[in-house]
Amino acid sequence: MTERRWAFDAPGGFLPWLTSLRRDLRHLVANTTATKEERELLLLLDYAASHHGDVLLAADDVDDLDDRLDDLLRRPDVFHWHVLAARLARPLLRREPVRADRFAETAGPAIGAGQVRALEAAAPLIDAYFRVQRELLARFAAEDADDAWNELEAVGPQILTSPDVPPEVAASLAGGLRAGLSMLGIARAVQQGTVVEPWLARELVERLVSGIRAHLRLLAAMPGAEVPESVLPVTERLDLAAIGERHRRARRYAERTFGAARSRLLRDA
Amino acid sequence: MHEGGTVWIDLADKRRPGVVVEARGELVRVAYGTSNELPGTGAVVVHPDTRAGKKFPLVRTTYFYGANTGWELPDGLHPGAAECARDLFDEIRRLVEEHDACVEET
Repeated sequence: MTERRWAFDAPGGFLPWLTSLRRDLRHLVANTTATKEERELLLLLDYAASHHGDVLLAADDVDDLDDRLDDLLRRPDVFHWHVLAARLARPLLRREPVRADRFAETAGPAIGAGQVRALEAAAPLIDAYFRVQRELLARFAAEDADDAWNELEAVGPQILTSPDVPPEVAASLAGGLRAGLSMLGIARAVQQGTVVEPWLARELVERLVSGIRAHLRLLAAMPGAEVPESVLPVTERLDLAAIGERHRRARRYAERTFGAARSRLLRDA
Repeated sequence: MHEGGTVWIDLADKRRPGVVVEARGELVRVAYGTSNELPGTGAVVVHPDTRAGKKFPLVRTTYFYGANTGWELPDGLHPGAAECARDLFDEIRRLVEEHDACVEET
């Protein structure tokens, strides 16, 4: 598995960008100018907002919210939904992502003025994230997307716990997925016209922003990704070369100890 | 038994909490915790009253060290109450991987 591929082995970071386009897609559909792919994508987004977003909106407290996020990250259907959406979204890569301030404005009635301010404060981070996602995904899609997505479908959510993926990378990918799911929770409340309880709105926005930051640590480390130092200092970005080297050594150790333990345990069994 | 599961393992006459960090063939690799604090040694600390601690569930503060892992037969393990909290799993894996790489280097 190459370092470049790690960025998209879980298409988590794709989701915030995609969700940000939801309002535009609705307008296109309403104006009957949407393409077949755009209609399908909107249906998928609405499905995910209702099925995955509702799960989060039913949280009782902070721990329950995190349990629900962890559960969603383990669910194969959630993972496969992400892959399907990513595949369908290819024609949308030409679109400009929605700016964070516009997303905040749309979400305002659901999350309240305090969380709108929190999103606005994080706007440089969110905008940089959407921009770099789009750039990298466009490049990725042009290269070997079909093979990669097929491979990803086969692996499923185990990619986030696999010993073949360095833990920092897995944590970063999980951050992207968490951000996407949190965004879906907010989108669901907007869709229903409901007001999210203040504590839940605060936690969803916090996970959206921290998840984006976690994922951007990986994306910004990709060759060609342009993320301003003011948004994410170089020291916060993953050092993929060092991580890759450490990971290879660690895998050799695991291989060696596995072989020794297997001989011993199976002999004694 | 699968990666990310919590388990209990009997070691040195004590039942210790553990996390499966790798499942491979007939064996699983478990990172196990201890109540002993080793000052100066990098550890992941988990308190029983936290979300992560309740997944085992822990009864006392537990320290996970990178060196404290072992390949085990699943038959000798007892399942924990719930899946390991995602963040804790990543932290433990990172500590274990840093230890493994360090040993392999020397």
